[in-house]
Amino acid sequence: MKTKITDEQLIDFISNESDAKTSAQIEAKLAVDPELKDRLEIFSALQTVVIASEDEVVSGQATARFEAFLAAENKRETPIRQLPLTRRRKWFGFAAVAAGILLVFSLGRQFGLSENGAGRELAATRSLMLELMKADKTSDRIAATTIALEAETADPELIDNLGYLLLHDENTNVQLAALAALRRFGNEKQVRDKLLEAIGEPDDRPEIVRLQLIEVLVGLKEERVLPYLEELINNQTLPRHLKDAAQMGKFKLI
Amino acid sequence: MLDDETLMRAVQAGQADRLAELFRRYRQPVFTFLVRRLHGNRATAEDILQDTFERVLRYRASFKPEQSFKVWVFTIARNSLNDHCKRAGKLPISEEVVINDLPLITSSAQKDWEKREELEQGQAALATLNPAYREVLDLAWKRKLKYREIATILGTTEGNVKVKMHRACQQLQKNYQKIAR
Repeated sequence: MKTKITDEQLIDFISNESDAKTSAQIEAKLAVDPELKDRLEIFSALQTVVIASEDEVVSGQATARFEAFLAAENKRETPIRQLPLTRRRKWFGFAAVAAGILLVFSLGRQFGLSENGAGRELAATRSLMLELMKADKTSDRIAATTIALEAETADPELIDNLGYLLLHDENTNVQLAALAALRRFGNEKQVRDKLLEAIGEPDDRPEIVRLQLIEVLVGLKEERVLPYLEELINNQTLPRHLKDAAQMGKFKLI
Repeated sequence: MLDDETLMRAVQAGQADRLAELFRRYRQPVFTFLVRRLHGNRATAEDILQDTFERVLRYRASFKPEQSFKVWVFTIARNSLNDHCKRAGKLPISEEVVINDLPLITSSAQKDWEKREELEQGQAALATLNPAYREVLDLAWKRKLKYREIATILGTTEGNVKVKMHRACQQLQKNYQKIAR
């Protein structure tokens, strides 16, 4: 039986809206019917025109306005604001621990912890801080990482934890906090290796973290970053300002 | 790269900063949709774009895991636009379209569209297309949405979208013929 394929069927076909039976029928006829093939080409050409049409470009002002809104919203939505009571209690509990850790660190600086019992306390609170870096709540991880900024010396485990947060944490603020903490121990080879590992990963790391990584590594005069910078400069898919930062970093190092 | 729905679930879970990535991905398509509905009024389209993404954040709890973010954000944009038009007492693009006699197109006159000149003529034909028609073509072919998804966005039926698609193609062919003549 010969059935005429209509224009409507062809339009649905190129729009992936045909049912399996009609699709099969059209495909079979296309192989033997040049007139049908020509008609399909016309619609495909129309489709090409539509796909090739350019989008309207949003102004930089509109983008900046949205970013400002989001930044304000992020500030407003601090963890305590809308938490249910039980969770708030946990937060206050953590805040107390955090304050304790800070106190121990500051005492340690004042009196020399290795020489008295406070040294053991520092070790305990340090363990707690490392534990909190693995907490489910973003706010806990950020706070624990921020507290790490107070540490006088970096031990391999602390660097390892901070490196893990920088490399794998899903939250941008945690990554940035980890980077800030690692920066303090930038003379350590282990830290530099972690930073290089982070910049070398071609993933969907937030732009702000990538920019900071460039700044930190260049600031540390870490020349091993040069090949990575080169890669960023030559990557056509990256935003201009990121490539510019890489270019600037390269100039500073060579 | 995380897909839209995963990012949106992260926004729902309290990571509002993930919305920045969704904004980056959708600002141009949504803005284009709005500008065309507003007859080229870019300033208002930018206001509504902002409102759209503010609504995404405000109503994040209503996003369902099985939903498509793309359809959801376009639907919010349409709602935001309608609210704006109600307040301003103006109507967005007309849903009414007049179909003139549509001449048959011969295949010989329509070959080699990929040539630059003909593509430019095609773009010119597209520019003169009724906005309501251009909208469905854009959503179906450029944004790769299904007819039923377009129906959800436009608040109409799938049958209506289908009819508009067919008429849009016919009118686009006709416009092209006029320009290429």
